[in-house]
Amino acid sequence: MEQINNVGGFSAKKVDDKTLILFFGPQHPSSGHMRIIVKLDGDIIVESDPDIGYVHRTMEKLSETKEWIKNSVLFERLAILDAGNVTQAYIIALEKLLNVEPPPRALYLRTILSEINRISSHLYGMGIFAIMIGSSTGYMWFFGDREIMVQLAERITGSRLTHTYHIPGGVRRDVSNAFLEELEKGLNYIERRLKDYEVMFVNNPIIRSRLENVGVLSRERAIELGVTGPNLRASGVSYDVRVEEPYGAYQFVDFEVPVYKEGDALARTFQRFDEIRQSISILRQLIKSIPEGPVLNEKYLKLFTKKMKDIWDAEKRVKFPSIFANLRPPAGKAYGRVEEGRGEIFFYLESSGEAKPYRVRVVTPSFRNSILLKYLPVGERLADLPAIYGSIDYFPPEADR
Amino acid sequence: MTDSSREFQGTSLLSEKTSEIIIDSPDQLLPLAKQLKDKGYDHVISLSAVDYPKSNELHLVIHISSYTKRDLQPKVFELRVKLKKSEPKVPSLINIWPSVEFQEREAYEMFGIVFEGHPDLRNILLDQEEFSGVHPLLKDFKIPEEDITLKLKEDVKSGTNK
Amino acid sequence: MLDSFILFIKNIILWPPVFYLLIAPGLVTILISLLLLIWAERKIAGRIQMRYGPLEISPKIGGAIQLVADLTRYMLQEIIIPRTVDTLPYLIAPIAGFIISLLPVAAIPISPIYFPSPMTNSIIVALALTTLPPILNILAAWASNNKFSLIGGARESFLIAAYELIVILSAIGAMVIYGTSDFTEAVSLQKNLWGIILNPISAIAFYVAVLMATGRFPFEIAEAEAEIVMGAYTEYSGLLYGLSMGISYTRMFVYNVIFSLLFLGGWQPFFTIGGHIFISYVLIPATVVILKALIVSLTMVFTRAIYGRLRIDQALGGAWKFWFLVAIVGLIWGSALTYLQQVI
Repeated sequence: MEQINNVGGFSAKKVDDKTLILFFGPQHPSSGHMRIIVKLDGDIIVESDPDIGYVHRTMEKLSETKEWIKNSVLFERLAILDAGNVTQAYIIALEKLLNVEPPPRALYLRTILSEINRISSHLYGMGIFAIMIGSSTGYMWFFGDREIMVQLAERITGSRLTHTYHIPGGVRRDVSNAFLEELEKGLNYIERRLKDYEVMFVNNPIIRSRLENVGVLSRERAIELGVTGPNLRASGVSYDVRVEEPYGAYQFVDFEVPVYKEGDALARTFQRFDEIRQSISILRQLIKSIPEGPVLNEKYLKLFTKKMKDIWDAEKRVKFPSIFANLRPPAGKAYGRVEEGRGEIFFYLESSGEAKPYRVRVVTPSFRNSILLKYLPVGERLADLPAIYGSIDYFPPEADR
Repeated sequence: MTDSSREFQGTSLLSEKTSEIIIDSPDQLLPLAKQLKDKGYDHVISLSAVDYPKSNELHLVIHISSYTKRDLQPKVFELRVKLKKSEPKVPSLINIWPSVEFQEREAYEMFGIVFEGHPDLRNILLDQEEFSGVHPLLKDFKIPEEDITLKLKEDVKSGTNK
Repeated sequence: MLDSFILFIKNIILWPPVFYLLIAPGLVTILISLLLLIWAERKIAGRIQMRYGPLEISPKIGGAIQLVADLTRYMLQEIIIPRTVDTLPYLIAPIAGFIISLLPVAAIPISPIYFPSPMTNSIIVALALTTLPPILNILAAWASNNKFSLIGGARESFLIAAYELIVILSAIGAMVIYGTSDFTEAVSLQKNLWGIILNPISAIAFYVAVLMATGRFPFEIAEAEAEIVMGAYTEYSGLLYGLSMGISYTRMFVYNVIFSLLFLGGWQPFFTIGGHIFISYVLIPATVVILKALIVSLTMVFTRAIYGRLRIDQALGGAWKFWFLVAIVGLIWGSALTYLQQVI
């Protein structure tokens, strides 16, 4: 069965009679933009081969042809449901190269956007997950309530999904106190709804029976496979970039990293619920303690012309000084990493002192988690494949840069 | 410089609080990786390469970190292996860090680096047929430009596009 | 001349086999019930799921005729027949499936004196006829020549084995109490006490088995869009797809007519209006039965908004290890009731 013959580019695999090869995707209601080639023995998956390269957008190559600042617009297309966190990782790495630091208020605003993004990303992931196991109500609820977080993000950044909020040395817009009140209202709503979700979704006996002991990822296996994010923590490893290498305003707030031992699909679902609760608590602390002040590094504020200052005073909106169009970080290398909703995103930048990056390497959480699609479904039933796929919150366009 | 002395230098480098090691020969990668793993670096964040056409080198860049030993410094360790561009071959790290499996496949298709001992070395993101032997992240790979607009202009000029 | 023609037409329509299969509870009623059912399903689910449900077509009556628009679209859509399918069975399966799913109507009376066909074993005949459509489903799965369809057909065949037995055992559980296999007699015996009160165990088992038989949630396993892409109907499009979607609703409605006759007192409470024989003996009882069946069907479509989908092994395990035993307990309960009645 495992014999592979390679003759002149053509490959043929020998399969025994009992095995059924099933192409799960790329045009499958729950596969997303990818394909999983599963081999079935009866109803049991004996081999699973994720073929994740269906939405390749050549980001690493493309970034070498664009100016540094323009790349932030490119990279947030990695995962537009979590764009704030993705851009933040890139900008953190770029700030290391440029050796600038954002002022405290900008750090707070970045973290507020990060957490709003995290909640909306978790709600999105669970919505997809719900429809995969047939709970259409869960799907509609999660997607409907995600709208609240998306609109809050729009209130901060001016755009629903592709925020382009972070710039080296700060952020693009300031927020008013009225927004912070809105945010508090939104958080209260989500907190109230979390109880409804528990009744309707996770504690629903049918849903629970589909998730318990499905796709169990042991602690050792999770570490070995380099899994990241909620999937890692649901397997009992307490690891969170927000704690390991605090960025933004995470050093100013208290929060717990929830951990579950079981490592099954149910634990991963509970993990996301707990993370949403932590995010709400973080956001509440941030609302209370956000400092006043500028949102852009003084180095750049000095370069503001009269007109830019007027716009800043009137609309609290940063007009780019011309230096941003032609950023030339000194030659060197830097990395930036951020805990995204789905896990750790890692940017490695290499500059040769030019206006364009020499090399950008980005490793996304979904790419690191995609290896689970190869190892977790083996031995499970075919019907568990969507449950596993949904529970690891896999987002194909993010994995396939 | 012989291999053994390089290896010795590698260990001495490790004992210091460096955040990166550059090794010249791919042969030293496996022993060094074993030491790093024993030290506590249990997973690979990123495995990729950087192309330096001027010095005719290809650097394999590996970023590793630790889930289990959280007080390990530095948090992210960078491991660089200099490879000859004409024949980029390196032993696979899959037995030390299974988390490199897909990343090595990506480096294979993007840079043409052959990981010896990898059980399933084939393209992961790019099309197997269109990109066999073509490695897009190398600096000498020219992105094919779409000439649709250009053609249209010519058509307009010559009057064929009516 | 005209009068005799009208009389002729009237006689044809009121001829029981035609009336039953075409008007009530046959084609026309089922289409209208489908309209109502699917609309209600969408609206109720919409209300629970924080959305409006259908509203684009006929917004003033809440999108009630959305299904008509859907049907029109299905009819005008091109029917794509893949090259790899086995064409004849592929075409026959959904059409025959739809017709056969209507067949049990030929044995189900909805009035005390007005039968589709005079027979004394109507319960057994009706139940026997309800078991036919899944075979066409499996035929569609096989003819489609698609792996997803094949898995869907395999799942369906597993499920048939599990639910048919429960349906028939729990129906026998009710028949034992009435001591007859004739619907008319069974209903007339429920004049004072409905079957669901006499034998609630069999009623519940029957209800769950119908959920399973008609692919309602949480037993929507043979279709399972997120897993096997509508199972047997993966390769269908246009009108054929519309028909195959209609099959499960039709089956559910027919099963629920049987359910309301066996357990919900059929056309009881039965009353007559003097001088109007047709209204008293056909229209009113038919309306009562159909209303009961519709209400039961509504509770069945409502499960979509609450539950997820079970796995095949969980559904089969539940059916064989639990509901099968429940059906047997219901049968014993029914027999015990009858025995006690004879003794006392």
